Amino acid sequence: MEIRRFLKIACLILMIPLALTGQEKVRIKKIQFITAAPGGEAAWNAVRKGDKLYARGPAYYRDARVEYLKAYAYNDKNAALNYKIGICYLYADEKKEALKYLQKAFEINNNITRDIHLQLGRAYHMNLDFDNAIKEYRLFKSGLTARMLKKVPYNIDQLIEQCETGKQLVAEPKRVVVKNLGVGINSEYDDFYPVLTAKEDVLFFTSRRPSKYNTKRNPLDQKFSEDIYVSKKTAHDWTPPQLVDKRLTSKRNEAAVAVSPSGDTLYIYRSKGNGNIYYSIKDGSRWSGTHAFRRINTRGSRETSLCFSPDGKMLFFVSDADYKGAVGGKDIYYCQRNENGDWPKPVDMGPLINTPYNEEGVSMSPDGKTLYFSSKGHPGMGGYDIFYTTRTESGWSKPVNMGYPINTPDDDLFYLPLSSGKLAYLSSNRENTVGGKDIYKIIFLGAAKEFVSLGEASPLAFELYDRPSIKQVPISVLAIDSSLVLMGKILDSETKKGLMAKIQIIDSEKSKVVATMISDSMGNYRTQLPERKAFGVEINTRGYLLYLGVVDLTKEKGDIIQKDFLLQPLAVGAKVVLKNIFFETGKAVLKEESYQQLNNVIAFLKENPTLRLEISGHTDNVGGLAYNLRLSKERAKAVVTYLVENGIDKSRLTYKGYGPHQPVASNKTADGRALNRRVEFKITGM
Amino acid sequence: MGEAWFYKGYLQLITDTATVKLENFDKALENGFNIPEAYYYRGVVRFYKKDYRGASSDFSMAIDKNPRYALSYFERGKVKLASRDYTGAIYDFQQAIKNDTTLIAAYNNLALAKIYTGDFNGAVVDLDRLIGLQPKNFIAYNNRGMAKYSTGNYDGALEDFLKAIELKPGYVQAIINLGNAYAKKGDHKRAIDSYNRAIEYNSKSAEAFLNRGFCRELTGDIDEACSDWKMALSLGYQDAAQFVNECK
Repeated sequence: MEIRRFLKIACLILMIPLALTGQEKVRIKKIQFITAAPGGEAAWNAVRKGDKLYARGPAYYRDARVEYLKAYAYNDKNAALNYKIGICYLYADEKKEALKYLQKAFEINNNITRDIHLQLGRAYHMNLDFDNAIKEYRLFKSGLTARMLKKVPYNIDQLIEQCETGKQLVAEPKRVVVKNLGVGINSEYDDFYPVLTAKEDVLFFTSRRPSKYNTKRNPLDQKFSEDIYVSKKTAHDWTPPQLVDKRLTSKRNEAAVAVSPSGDTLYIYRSKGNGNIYYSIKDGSRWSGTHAFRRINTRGSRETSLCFSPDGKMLFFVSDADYKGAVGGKDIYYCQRNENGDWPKPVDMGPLINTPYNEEGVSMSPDGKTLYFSSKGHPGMGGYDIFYTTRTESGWSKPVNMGYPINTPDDDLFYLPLSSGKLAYLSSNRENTVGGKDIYKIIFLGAAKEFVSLGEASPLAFELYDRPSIKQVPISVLAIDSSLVLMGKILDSETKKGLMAKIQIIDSEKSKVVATMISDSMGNYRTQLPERKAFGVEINTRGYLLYLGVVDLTKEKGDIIQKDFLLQPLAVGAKVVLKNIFFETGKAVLKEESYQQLNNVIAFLKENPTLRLEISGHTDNVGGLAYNLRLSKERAKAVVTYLVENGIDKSRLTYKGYGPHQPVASNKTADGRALNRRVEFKITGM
Repeated sequence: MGEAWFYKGYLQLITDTATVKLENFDKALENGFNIPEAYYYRGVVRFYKKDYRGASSDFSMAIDKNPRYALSYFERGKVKLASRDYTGAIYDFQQAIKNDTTLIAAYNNLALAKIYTGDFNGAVVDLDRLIGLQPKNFIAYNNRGMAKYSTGNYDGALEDFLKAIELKPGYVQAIINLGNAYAKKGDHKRAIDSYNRAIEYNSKSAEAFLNRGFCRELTGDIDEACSDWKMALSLGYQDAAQFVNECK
């Protein structure tokens, strides 16, 4: 009687191992929660609520965990509480979270339960920490007698093998992205077994969510029974799922397992009897009642999965029937439709495909060449793993594990390849679950790609470094056949440090540049000059005041003349006399030979765009004061006008006529008066 | 006479490299002004004009005349780098440094030559020295980041790329490399943020679009990835064609 009751409520698959999922009794003691500290009583109440939920089994672990975590906020040093929280994660969802609580439970009390090493092993296993998982499994095994080991619902040796396989699979992950289909399809309850029409525009799946027809929990696992939901594809998503049809909904478990290419026949697992395959035919918008698929159902056995070849001539199904040749557990069988259109007796796919453990969830590629299924017996990384086998001339190839991250240490089932070959669906309980088992989309990526760095392969990438060299030798330009050499240094007037600068030697009488030089980084310059006379010298370099001077070779002896020049760093108040500015006598009209020097002032101002200047005119003391003041002012203005006409913003320039008031030499001599007649500029702002 | 031609060419070189005429240095040398610098500068002009063989020959002549001519070693190293003679480039940059320990560009280029030969750790050591000499050299940080990235030291690379960007906020190359490092660490969100930032600075950066496409592919956003690869292709990154083909 008890067995019959079990069979009537049998779900498509049992999602959770029923034993040793925290079944060891661990008591959280009241004394550790009722203390003088505030909050103790509320924490203890949370423990009590949690314990009641915990005792009802894994379906309630998620709710129990909420209560336990409230208590944990009050006291995180209770070994039993840590253990129970760990178990509530490990056998519900967010399994990876279990590890830290179980580790802590063990740290506080290394004898917290007999199965602590097993649970730690499971937690490490779920976290892909296979080496530590193996260690814990071995510790667990070493503490048990052979008789005790038989009572453990896990095959510890197989778990260790799974860890070894897991190490290999994780080391070579497949280029796929696994994406949860999201809350539009998945719910906080188990959602699984996606089935698509040939056009891939209608999705049937199974859910253990409650509905108005489904309000009672299955006493076996305390979950709601399985119902079939349907959703239609939109441009970017799926419509909200609806129960497929009231007629396909009962107190029993119903799960969609296949749909005909036209979408009008739905194959269904029902937990009627032992659990068999039925079908329903769509008539307009309604589905008919269910009819048993008699050819594959066997009395006393359970059939749970089905798929057809694309041409409809073969079907594959999963059954635990004891057919001749059955390998063990649930096996995959096939039928080849005969000439009359009937399905003859099923044939076991044999020991290459089937194992003594369960196989489950068959599906076929749209080209009919590849069969996918899940297995607990082939080398996998834990729980059900998905495998594929391809059609060969003599049958089917040896199954191949689909690899990580398609497979995980938990159950991975109901793989459904799509026609593009680039997408598939599967059911699993893994990271990013909405709750329990969810349906995930597998996106197959193209070839591995390497991120590209800019400029890495081009010498141009280090262009910045390419010009340290253009300052090596002092040079002068213009071919001059002369033995008269002018050489020396260009120096900072304050630090006496050598400066690299551009030097021009100007024949003022001819208004012609006779030599241009660049000093080297030590400040050295050297040039030949055509004749012994007075030349204008203009020196310019960034950060220094323009040097405008005269070198009078007539006063020097020898052919090699040494002359150093000092440049003033730019500073407000610094002045320069424009020595090669010439005006028509008694007028404020610039002579053409002034342009050379004024052009150098323009270049200087352009190189130092923040500088502001005052241009000032000065006279000697010959003539009336009013006349001299007016003339000096107009001459300064003429200079400013030239600069503005040649691109200098007038806001940067002011002018002033000082007449004879600021002499730089004595007005008693002709030479002195010549020095006093001048135009200057002064830096007024930087 | 030869000296005058040399000076004329030299002045051209420092004022406007693009229009410099090789004949100035040719005539300087023809007229007997065969100082090491004349070969050196002619080599510089030849390198600029992508006459690598001629440039290398000139730098070698300069070195023959002055075996301690650090800059000639440096420039010849650059020629070898451009000609993909990485081993030869390493030798020349090492000689340049040996003769002028302050020649920071040589440390950088030595490191790059080592990167091309796969000696990433050696490159990191050279760039460490460069950064020791110039702690604000953003290119050195970027290059060191690339070297670390190549060894799989993504955390170290991230640190260097972030420093390079701190020193030069619009440094697109470093921003793209930062995205790559984030992507390698699996932080696709930050990686995509970095590529977006690179695209803000340079909307024609094919590499930024290409890499953002790679990253979007890894997050399963295939349509967006394809859109990025198409953009990279339209911006002239021909290798993107193979990825666009995957989208069909």
